[in-house]
Amino acid sequence: MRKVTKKAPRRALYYSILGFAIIIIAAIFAYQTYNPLKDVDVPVTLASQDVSTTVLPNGLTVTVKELENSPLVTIQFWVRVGARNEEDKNRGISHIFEHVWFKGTEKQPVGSFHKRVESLGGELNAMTSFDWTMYFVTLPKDKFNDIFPNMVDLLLNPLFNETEISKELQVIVEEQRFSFNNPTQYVDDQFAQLLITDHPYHNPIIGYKDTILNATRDSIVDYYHQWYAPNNMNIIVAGNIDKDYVVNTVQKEFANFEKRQLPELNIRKLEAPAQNLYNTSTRDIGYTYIATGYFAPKATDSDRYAMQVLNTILIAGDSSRIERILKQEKQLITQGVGAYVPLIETGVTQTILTVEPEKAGQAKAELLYQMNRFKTEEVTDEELERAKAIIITQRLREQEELFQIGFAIGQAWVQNDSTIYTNYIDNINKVTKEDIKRVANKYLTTYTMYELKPKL
Amino acid sequence: MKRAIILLLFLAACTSVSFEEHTNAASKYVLSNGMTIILKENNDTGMVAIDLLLKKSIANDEEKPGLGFLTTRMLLSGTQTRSREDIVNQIENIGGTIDAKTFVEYSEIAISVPSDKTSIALDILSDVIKNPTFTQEEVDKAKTILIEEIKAKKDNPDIRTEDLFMATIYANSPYQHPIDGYAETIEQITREDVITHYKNWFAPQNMYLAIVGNINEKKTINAIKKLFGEMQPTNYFEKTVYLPPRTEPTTNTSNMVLESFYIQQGYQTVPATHSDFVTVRLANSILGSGSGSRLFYNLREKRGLAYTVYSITPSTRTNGFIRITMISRPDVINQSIDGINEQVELIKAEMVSEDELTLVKQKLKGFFALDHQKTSDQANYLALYEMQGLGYQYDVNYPHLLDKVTPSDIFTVANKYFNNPATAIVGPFNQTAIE
Repeated sequence: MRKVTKKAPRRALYYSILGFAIIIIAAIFAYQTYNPLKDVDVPVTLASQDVSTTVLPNGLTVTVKELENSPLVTIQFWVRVGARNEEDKNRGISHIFEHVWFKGTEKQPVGSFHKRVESLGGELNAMTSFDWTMYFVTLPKDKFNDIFPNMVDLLLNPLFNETEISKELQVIVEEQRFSFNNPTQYVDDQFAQLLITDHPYHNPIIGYKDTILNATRDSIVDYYHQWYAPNNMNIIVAGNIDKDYVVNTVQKEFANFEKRQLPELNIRKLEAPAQNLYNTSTRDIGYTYIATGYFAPKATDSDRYAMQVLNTILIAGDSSRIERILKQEKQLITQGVGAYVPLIETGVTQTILTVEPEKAGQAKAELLYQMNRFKTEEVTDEELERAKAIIITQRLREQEELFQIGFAIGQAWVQNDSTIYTNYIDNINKVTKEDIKRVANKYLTTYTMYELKPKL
Repeated sequence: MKRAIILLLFLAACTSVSFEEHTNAASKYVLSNGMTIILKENNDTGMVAIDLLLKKSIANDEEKPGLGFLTTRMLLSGTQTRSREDIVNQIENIGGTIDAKTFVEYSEIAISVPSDKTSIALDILSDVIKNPTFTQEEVDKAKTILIEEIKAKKDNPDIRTEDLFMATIYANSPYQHPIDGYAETIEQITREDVITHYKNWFAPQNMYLAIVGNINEKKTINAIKKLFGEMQPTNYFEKTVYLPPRTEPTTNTSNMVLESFYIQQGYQTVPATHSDFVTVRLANSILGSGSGSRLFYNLREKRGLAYTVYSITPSTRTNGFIRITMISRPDVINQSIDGINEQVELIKAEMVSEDELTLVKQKLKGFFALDHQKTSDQANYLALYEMQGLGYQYDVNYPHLLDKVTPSDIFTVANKYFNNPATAIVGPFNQTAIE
């Protein structure tokens, strides 16, 4: 008995040391293999994509997107007018009026609106495109009332002061010069003019030097009266604000803005060129710039989603075919950029490559080969899923910025199709490999190419 | 079992946090190896932004300008377990983006991913920071691509003007070179240069990691400790070179076939940590930030001299600058340059009114909210301020600092710093003479 009791503590000690050692080893092992990474992921809840749209008796649309947690509100005036609505003699007039909008009213002298927005802690700007013009202010949510009447005043009561207009035309000509100064922008413009002829989209949105300088007060006033009608506009408000309040305020402020008959447009239907088109010029530069593209689905065509996925596989991100194959693997290009632009009358998809002059021939051939691959082979499952993830995540990223939310809503309204905004993610998710191949065969037919080369 | 848990906690504490602080700006942790982490939960978004800044400057490139730029970019060129394609595919498969960039005073790896994929992003971040391989093949390829990009910059008037401006304002200092170097210096860089630069500088004492968005803070810091806690610090610390005041105006020009002149004119100011910095920011804002500013109103709205005219003041560890940019047509180039000088002289000659100053303060405060909408921007501000020595809380304190500035402060600061301009002009000098 005693022996046992004597030995027992010792044995107990052994066991306890052994047990302790095992625990330590197990603990070290556990820590080494413990992966805290698996706990860091937090599920994504996609914010609702619903919007509230009201059409007032005078035809004015009001769209509100309530976002409870934002400290800001964005106010965007969208007008369904742009370069698409212009005539030859007035090229660039949509953009000219966008500038004139800021040139004051009886109540607001030139420059005072800018100062007011900034003193309220806001930012402002305006943009003109082929199909639309928009004006926006983003500012703290409680300042909506401090700026909304001023925006309405600018819209309804522009002064059209002759001296101000002539000064502003000089500023616009200066803006227009950028399209020459930047080779990428230059080939972009030249490409569009080659692809589209006898059509408003042929012309740069900003117009030409002579059409800008020849714009008169009367022509700008006429243009404004023709197109700036309530039935051609949407007042989009997104942010931390009550939708009924917004609708009531808009109704009150625009009470005297009367519905008008809009002019009819006679725009010819666009068709892909019967053959490939190519043009070139030279300049005192070091590199070659090549813009290549095709007609693509127009904005309301359900094929737009497949084209967007195709374009993403082609050029979005470092895993895209152009970046991976043309730049990294074959080292044929220095830079590749591209876009698919869906518009009312058509869409355009294009790439612009920056290339060492001696590699231009190979780069062009490789690009055309890559475009052709979309017609002959299906994209891989990985490419398809990746492209969808890129597009949908980009949407998620844009939801962080009020301006972007309003902008996406506006783009859909311009096309008379709110589902472009509300069902966007679903529609992207529905795209199949077969869709991409079919769309490629339908649209990537004859290519148009413009090349700017160094002067020898 | 209890003992095992205690041990686990003990072991976890070995790679421990040596400093921890929770404020309304964010939470800050410093690991025992010197790495700083700033975390901020924002559950309104589905995104997570991860911004890793490396405190080092282009001065550390020494006689091989562009070395830091190339090394940083090459972190994405492959690790022991991932090829360059693996890295980009794994990030883009989840819809994310990853960029490795270099600026004058820091390098950056910025990642943006949906919050249900944060683990993949952190895993890749730690891999590219800890295990890059810099194979000879990838070094050669990266050099070739970079040299081409440097050559192609010659056709871009914006970049050319900016490089020329930096060479002018920082002349004879270690900050005068282009961040991406020169074709000749890139050519000379060897694989050993890249590896040495990496080993010296890409170490925890130089790392500032901010993570903002839809995260769980506790779980995130646990993962970071595990991923980065074992990295060993080195003895390489960036030593900021402070610059003597400029003693005379200097101008550099470059001929380029353009339809406009690109002008950048700047004045040497102070580091971001200097007590005058906030006043310099306000003076800059009065002068040229936004469409309500003096330069915009007087030179564009009133006189129609330009489409583009604005000024900026970046926050820097070394002496910073205020830089005015104007793009002007050849027939009014002289009036444009005179116009810039008139506005700078005016802010030195006449005290700004209380009203104008109040307006500009409100503008900067508002801009602050506008500029913090994106998680990626929030993360960048937190990491940047912390790295610059302003502290991450500067991000919420900054608006209050504005309140203290008076018109006479603006007057004093303008007269103290807005002297001896550095001017860079790129444009069609062969066709137009500038007086």
